[in-house]
Amino acid sequence: MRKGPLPVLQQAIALLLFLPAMLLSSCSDECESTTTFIVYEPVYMLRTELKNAVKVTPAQTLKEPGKIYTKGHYLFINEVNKGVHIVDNSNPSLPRFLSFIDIPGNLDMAVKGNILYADNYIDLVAFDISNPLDVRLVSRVENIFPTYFGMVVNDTAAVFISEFVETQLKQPAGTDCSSAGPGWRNGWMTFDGRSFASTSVAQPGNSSGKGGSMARFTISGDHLYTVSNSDLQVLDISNTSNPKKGEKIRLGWGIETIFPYDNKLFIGSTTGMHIYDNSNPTSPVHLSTYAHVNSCDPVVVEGDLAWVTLRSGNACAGFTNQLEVINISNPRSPQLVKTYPMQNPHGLGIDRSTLFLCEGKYGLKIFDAKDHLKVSENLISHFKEHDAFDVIPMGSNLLLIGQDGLYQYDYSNLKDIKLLSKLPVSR
Amino acid sequence: MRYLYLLTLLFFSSGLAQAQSDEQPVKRYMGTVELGYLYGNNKQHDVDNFVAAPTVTLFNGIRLHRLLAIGATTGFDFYNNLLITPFALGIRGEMLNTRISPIYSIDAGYGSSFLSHESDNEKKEGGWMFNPALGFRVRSGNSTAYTFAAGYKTQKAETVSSWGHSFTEQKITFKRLSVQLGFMF
Repeated sequence: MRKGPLPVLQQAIALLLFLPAMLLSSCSDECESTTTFIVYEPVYMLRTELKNAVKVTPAQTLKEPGKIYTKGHYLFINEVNKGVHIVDNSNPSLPRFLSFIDIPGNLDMAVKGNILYADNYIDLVAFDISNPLDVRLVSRVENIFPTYFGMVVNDTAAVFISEFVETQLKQPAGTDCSSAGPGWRNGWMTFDGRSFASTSVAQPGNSSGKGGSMARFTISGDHLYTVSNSDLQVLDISNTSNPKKGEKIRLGWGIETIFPYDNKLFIGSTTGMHIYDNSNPTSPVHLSTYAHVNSCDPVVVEGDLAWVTLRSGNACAGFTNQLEVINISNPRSPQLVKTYPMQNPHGLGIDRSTLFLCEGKYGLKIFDAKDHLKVSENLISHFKEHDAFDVIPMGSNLLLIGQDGLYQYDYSNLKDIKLLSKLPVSR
Repeated sequence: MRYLYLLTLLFFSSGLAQAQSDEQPVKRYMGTVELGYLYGNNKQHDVDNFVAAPTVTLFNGIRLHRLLAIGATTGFDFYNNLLITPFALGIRGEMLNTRISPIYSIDAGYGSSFLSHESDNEKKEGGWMFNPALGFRVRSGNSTAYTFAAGYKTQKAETVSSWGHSFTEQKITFKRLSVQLGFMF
């Protein structure tokens, strides 16, 4: 009846039964997974290498400017982790680079008299800058700053970890088909040096210079105060060329900025503002802590008011971008008076009730802050054309540092703020 | 995009039902719906792990000859964490004109991942697919039939999943035994 098709059919069915068995051996998924880890690898540096690296070199242009500091008619601009530019600013319309001091690991500086203090990874170095063309190293205080681990390097250690570099590590995982997910992670998160920006404050008539609101170094009288991520270090500089290590005060984690005002030290951290009584300068005493949400926050003070900016960002965590006004007439109990929303506030400065606020890539905002409850309604001007991260108001001239260079403005007439000069960044 | 595709699919398959009811002496149209599994070894940390991924295949084509129908193949392949929608050129054929006949099919094309769920830290991309199969069909009516087929399906895909600043790229070649039951009309 079905003589024709049947054998073929039988064959086909037989084939179909065997087919799975035949194919099974080759039915294995092939997976080629490559995992790319971003790790932070430690860079080791020899102590002798650190000492030898500090030297004065010819003037250079700005590449990655950090903090700024001013003293007399000199301007000091930090080159992140590289050193300090010395700029002759006797004519603000035409600033000139004089020289560059190679200081590996440098982020902060302060000047008193003719001595420039700077951090050199784990050490503090002091330079005689009476002749800016012939800068000489006069002193070195060893093992004073903690490393990224937050540990102070042992006196006998010949080597230390200077920094962590971001490296890509590829890990081929062969034929594994399991769906990818977080694996091991190694290394440490590093903080962006620039995130530690600064404020300025009109200091009592001593011969020290002036830093920004994002400074971690500040001079008050005969003492230099430096803050690391977790500690406040006091240094006696009554003999300017021979700084002496003083008391070290544990502050807690996430310390970012310090600035002195009226016998008090205002220390900005990622979680709040600490107020220390500095009437005994060798041993500051904790008065109070004003806590706020997690974010980066430089502080400036004028009169009874402290101005704090909170911003979000990589190293800063948090999602807040605002300006806070805090009443500190009773330093033991600071009270929040008013909060203004901002775009991405970085450093700030205040001079005779004129508030200068850096908004990062949104530029510089200048407010009339005479009425501290109506600051947002009194915007004098907004310079949007360039990035701004820290300012120093100097009475009539304003120093502004941003990603593309150092700008100087004349603000003697607030209605007509003029750009005097620009030191551009060359990459 | 994906809703448009699903809508078109629905519209088209409802159109098929009408086309099917038109009895014609020489039936030019050929359609199949197949359900089955893609079976294979998906090694996890070098340990054998046999899995079966459900699959749905739809074919719409024109019969040029009993031995050759040409058309388009689409459907859904539910691999682990990855939904592949093939867009392929397919050929089908029946060996004999008897009630029971061996059949073959070959599909080759691109398997897209556009219907696959993606999260912010996960990217998925499809790739080329190839699926030859052999089987037989049993006629059930004038122009309809049940089918059974076994074949081999290979499908390329890529996934990138990231966490923090690190990420894992996975280049996958699925090699699976396909076993499918279907309906031909």
